[in-house]
Amino acid sequence: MDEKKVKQVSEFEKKEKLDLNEIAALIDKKKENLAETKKEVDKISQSTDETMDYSKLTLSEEDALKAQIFTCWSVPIGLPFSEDLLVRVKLQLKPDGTIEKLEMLDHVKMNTPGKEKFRTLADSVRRAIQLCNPLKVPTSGYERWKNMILNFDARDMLGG
Amino acid sequence: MVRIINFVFIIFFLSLVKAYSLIEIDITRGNLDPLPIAVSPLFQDDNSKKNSINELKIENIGSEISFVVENNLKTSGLFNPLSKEAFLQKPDIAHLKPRFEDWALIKAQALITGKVTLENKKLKVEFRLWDILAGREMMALAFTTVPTNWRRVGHIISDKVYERLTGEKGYFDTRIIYVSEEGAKTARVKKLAIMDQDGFNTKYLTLGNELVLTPRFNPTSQMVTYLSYFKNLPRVYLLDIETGTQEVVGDFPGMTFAPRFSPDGKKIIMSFAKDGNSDIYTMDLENRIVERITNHPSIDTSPSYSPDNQFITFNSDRSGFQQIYVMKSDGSNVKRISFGKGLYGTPVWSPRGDLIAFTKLHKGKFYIGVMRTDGSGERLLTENYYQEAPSWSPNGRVLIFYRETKSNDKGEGFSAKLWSIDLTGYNERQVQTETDASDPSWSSLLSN
Repeated sequence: MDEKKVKQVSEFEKKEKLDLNEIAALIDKKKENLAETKKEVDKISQSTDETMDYSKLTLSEEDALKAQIFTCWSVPIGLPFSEDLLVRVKLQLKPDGTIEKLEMLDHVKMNTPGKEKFRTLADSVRRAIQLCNPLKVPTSGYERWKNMILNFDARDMLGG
Repeated sequence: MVRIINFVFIIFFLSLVKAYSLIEIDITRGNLDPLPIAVSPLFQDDNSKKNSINELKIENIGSEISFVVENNLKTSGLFNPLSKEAFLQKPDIAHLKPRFEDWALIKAQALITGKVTLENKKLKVEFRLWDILAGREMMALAFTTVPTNWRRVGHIISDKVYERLTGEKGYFDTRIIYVSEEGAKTARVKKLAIMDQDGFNTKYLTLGNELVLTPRFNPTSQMVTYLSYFKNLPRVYLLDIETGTQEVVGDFPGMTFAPRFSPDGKKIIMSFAKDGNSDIYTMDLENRIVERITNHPSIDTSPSYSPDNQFITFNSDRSGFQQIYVMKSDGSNVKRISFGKGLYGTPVWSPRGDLIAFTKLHKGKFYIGVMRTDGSGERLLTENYYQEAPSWSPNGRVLIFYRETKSNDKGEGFSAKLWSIDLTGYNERQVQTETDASDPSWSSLLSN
């Protein structure tokens, strides 16, 4: 029993001893790790910024645009649910957000017999975009957003 | 060297892809506010004005038609007709070519214009629906009819506009049959009455000598079935609204309830008490053969077919309390679908097929509600002291029902009125009737 106790103490002491001896090394190592992590973080943020410059709006930019369009889009709530409740629109914008060109990506469907409900939805989308013209676009990075696609998806709202 | 050139080329290509990849944004929410719409008075020339004064005693029938349209669109809850006082453009010019910027200025998103001609006892009405924001015409139609049909033309225009802008069929060119009630509560005179869905053109179909109950429209024609008492015995009648022809379908024993047509109009379904027990029966209107559908010691009443004729919903107290059930139309595979607290009754299958409307009684209050056909998704749309008997608009979006007020011991203060509510539960309105009214039934569209 005594032997055991002693053994424990000695191990503790041993450990403490070891820690003390290696403190300096550990501190140095930690500094190194921190530096590396910082480097990594910088790298990641740099890389994220790069991506966003070319293919995305920032979350707050996207939210501002969505919030504007939500208020303009009067959804035809009589439409029965179907997978057809998605209208894709390609926009070409001026630097102040004014719409220069509006292209319905499924325009063929609009005049297809039997697709009158899709036409009703597409009409509502066209009205929404006109009503929101000019769009609340970011003040910088025109090249990034001068062309964009808006996917008007009414499937959740119309009870899928 | 070749490898280096390839590498540079790939990097250049990737940078191009990056630079030109398109931003895509998903818009998954919109607003459900009523659509601002301008209903311009329909233009009428001086000659037509003179003719309409002579024939209809109405000075400006174009204005009157526009008021019918405006009222219909407003009561639907989906449109916000703008005040005519704000209109900047005259009706005749607007009908030729609207100045879209003027209409956009008053925040209109859609515009209705039109022209009325009344010559040689013929009324010709043209109308156009314009998309203000897109700056283009969406629809142009013309109708010719007898001058007295001018209100119907307004309803048809409303249906066309409603369908074009909401994506579902309208319900304005329809009629409502109901039981008109007059006199003290203890001595009510009850007559069958019919009117346009907006409360105009009321006609009384019976004299009030006999008690009439539960009129129901045939979904395929302007035929009505109803229950009346002859020498204190219940009789089921068929009445052709167009010709006024009436026939007795049959006398049935004991308490008979709520005859209703099948969706194809070939049968009527009802409940009556044979040997003291109420069950559900159908009658083929061609050969008058009666078929028993349920056979259970409990009270089964208020049957209603699904629009595809495949199923029947009804209420029964077979579980100990009145609840809603669904079965196949041959009476097999009976399933209880209502499990909430309280009593459930008067189930009616929606013309769309997706919902069943019902009346619910719980803790002394009456509710009108809807649930899916498997009983899930129960929603109570309106609550009151006493209300029942919902009937669907033909597009399955609005319910009409009646509501009674509380009276004192002497029966004073009592009234019965028709009300409508849409599936959102927010658009609740009293439907104007000349007298007190109960037991409404909504017709199908008169024109398709």
